[in-house]
Amino acid sequence: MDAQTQHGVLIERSLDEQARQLFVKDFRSHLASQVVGGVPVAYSQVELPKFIAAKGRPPKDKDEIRQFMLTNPYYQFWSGLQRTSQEMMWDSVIDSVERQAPALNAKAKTLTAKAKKAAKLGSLRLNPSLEIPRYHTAVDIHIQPGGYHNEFGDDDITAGAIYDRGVHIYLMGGMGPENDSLGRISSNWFRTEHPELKPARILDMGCTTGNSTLPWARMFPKAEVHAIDVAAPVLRYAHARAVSLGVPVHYSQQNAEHTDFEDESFDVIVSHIMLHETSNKALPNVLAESRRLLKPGGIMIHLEIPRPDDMFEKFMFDWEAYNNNEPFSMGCRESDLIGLAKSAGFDPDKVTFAQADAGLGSGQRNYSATGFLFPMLKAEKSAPVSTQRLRKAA
Amino acid sequence: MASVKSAKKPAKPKAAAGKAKPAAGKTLAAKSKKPASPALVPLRTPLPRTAKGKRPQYFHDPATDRLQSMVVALMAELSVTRDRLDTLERLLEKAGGPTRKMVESFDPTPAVEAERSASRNAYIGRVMRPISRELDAMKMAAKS
Repeated sequence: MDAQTQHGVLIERSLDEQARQLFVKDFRSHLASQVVGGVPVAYSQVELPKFIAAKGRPPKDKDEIRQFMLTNPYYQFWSGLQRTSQEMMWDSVIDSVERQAPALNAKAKTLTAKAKKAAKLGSLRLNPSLEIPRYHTAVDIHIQPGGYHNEFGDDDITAGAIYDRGVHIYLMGGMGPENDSLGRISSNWFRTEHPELKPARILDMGCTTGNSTLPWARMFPKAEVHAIDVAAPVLRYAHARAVSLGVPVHYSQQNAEHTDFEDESFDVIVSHIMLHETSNKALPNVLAESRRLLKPGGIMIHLEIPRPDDMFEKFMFDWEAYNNNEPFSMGCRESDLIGLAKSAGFDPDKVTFAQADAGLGSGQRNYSATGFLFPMLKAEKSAPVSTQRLRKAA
Repeated sequence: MASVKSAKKPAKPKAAAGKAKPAAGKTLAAKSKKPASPALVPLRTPLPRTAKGKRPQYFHDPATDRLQSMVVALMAELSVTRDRLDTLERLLEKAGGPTRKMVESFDPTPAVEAERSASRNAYIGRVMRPISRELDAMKMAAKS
């Protein structure tokens, strides 16, 4: 059963296209529930005893584990299949997108025109002269052919159309009908932690197609919600999608390291699995920019990819870095996010980490039967003058 | 990414051809009494099928990598065919459809043959994609 919510710019699928996409989805579920579980067995039963017999000690870190696992036949076979499934996932979606590209681009144009006439439908502000950072252009992230920022026609949204459908297949529907579970996790957590706060302005950084932005806009319908990304095609798609779903969001093409928003102009700043798509150099900039943009008493939440403690689990989660064009995911996972937030000027007492369970089933966990907890870096900007401004009674 | 780079310059005529379409769009729009839809503008280039960035090698012999991917592509295509057959059988069952003899003696017209040939070629392209991807990668490496 295909559970993705239909909206104005979601691709249509022919019978065969749909069958191909559902095959990839089921194949990935099979890999997740039936095949990847063999990797820890190959490790503990085959490779680890060999290593200990040869060296007289257990491996000292994840990289040493990787060295000997790369030659393990079971790991090789699973790895090759996992990579292949990712390639076929994009292929199966691009078939549909390519066929409908002129119609999709036209649909987005119509929805954008509709929003121009009614401010309550949100807005789209593109900046063709924005420099696309190297961490975006060096490789196609997630091996999505063409990446997020390349355009193949006028007013092109194809990258967004490919991404939105691809993500649904990637997590085998595990992110929900609107691929929005991460935004629901962060917004629900925020509301539980701060029931007294009623944010007036919210910013989502690195929003791609806006899947995680919409839960925030729905939870706080009176708030002015902004979302930024460096890639124009995904923003055009995000805007058209939001208009079609009737959720007002103001999208603009900006780099989260340096935006054109005014100082202290947001009550809440969030991002969802964005930091690890940046770089060692960019990460501190994003945190400093978050702090600049927050009003005193405002809150920043950056939800990130799982950070397991166990050495073997770390090795498993590194798979994406080596095989799915996520070069910075390892560096980010190992980085001291709390320390970086403090260096960015956040009050040390106001920086914390929380973990959220994404509630993924066994057929939706790519690298681990456990450890699918998403960490959230949270910081509050100190409010020396008046914290009360934001803390209106509910 | 050769296709991406070359995308920026040429192919104006195509876009112009796309703009010529609204005539048909307008009649449709007039019938449904909706505002005219934007013109259907074709893409300047085909969408790329190979991601920028080196593909890891999983097996000692790279041929094994290609073969593995091809086997999965074959699995997919068979699965697609089974879905289609299943659709067909259920519809036929409902409608009290044609007999096996009719299926056996079905004589496709040249147009049907052409359609089949096109889809067969697309099918071959999909199963062979691991190889075309390797070629793309070699070309991309040569360019950079």
